[in-house]
Amino acid sequence: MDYKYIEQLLERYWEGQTSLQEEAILHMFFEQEDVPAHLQRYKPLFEGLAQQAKIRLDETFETHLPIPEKERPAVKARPITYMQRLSPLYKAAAIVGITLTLGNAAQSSFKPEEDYNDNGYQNSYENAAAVYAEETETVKFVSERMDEVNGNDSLDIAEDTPAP
Amino acid sequence: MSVTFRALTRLHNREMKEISFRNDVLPFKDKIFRLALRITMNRAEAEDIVQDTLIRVWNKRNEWSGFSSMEAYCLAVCRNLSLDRISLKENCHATLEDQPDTPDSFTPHDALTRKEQISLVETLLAGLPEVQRSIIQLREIEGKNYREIAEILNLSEEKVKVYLFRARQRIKQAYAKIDGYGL
Repeated sequence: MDYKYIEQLLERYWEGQTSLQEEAILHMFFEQEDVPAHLQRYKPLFEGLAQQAKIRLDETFETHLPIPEKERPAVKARPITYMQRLSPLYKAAAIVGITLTLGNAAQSSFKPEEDYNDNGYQNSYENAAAVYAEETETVKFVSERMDEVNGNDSLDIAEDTPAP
Repeated sequence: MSVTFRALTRLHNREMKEISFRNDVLPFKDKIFRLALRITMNRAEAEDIVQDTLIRVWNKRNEWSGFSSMEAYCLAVCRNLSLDRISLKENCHATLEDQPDTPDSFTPHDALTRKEQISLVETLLAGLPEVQRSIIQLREIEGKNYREIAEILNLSEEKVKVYLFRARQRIKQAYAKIDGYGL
């Protein structure tokens, strides 16, 4: 059997170049029964190291040990007033209020300004009488059409109201 | 949003988890003992150190959430307490009785008993400086990686590698001497 790999591992072990896994391989190798003669000399070293891991405290150790009881980590209780308890609500209300106010302000400032100047108002027609006559004609026309639908007598608006 | 909420829940659960000396501290006692024994080389003192370490770690339980590994923290406390003891003892003049038993001669190819194997390793490691001894203990016996060892010993990983290399070289040389025919 070829033990080159183990020899290489051992060489790197002394140089401090082996990983934990490789060291575990070495330990396992030297713990088995038949180790070749030229490597036999390291067997007591590795077996001795393995034995060291089995060293335990005496069982009587715990009997002399003052073992504290289980406990929960202390949680500090801090008294707070009713107003402090409601403070998140106040904050929320304040945020809503501020948002609405700013929203309104923004909306009105971005709207184009309307001109409400009454002095600058001008009629778009020139003859008031002509406009009145035309308006009367239109109302009459609508009235007649409605009467046709409803079956009533027509009402002559022009006779009741004198022209301006 | 859900991630944040889950993280919060986890944090809350951890904070509220019931902690106990028996479940959270006591399981490390043997590892602490082995490190203390390696440093002080005295069983009775190592037992005292285990007790001091466990109680000290328990008393710091409000700070546990800040530690990445409880085991590493326990071992770091253990080492500091062990070093305190050693320096105290050096001031009080160490006696020969405190040294581990050194067998008269080793012949590694003979089948050694368990006890002899243990004392062989103890003799080899006793010849190393404390840092190298602790590193060999954590690496070879407790199977810790470089990062964990660096955290416990408060060293850089590079330093740990250098010390481990030196320790192995010394063990190799000492072993060759015991072995009788050199390497």
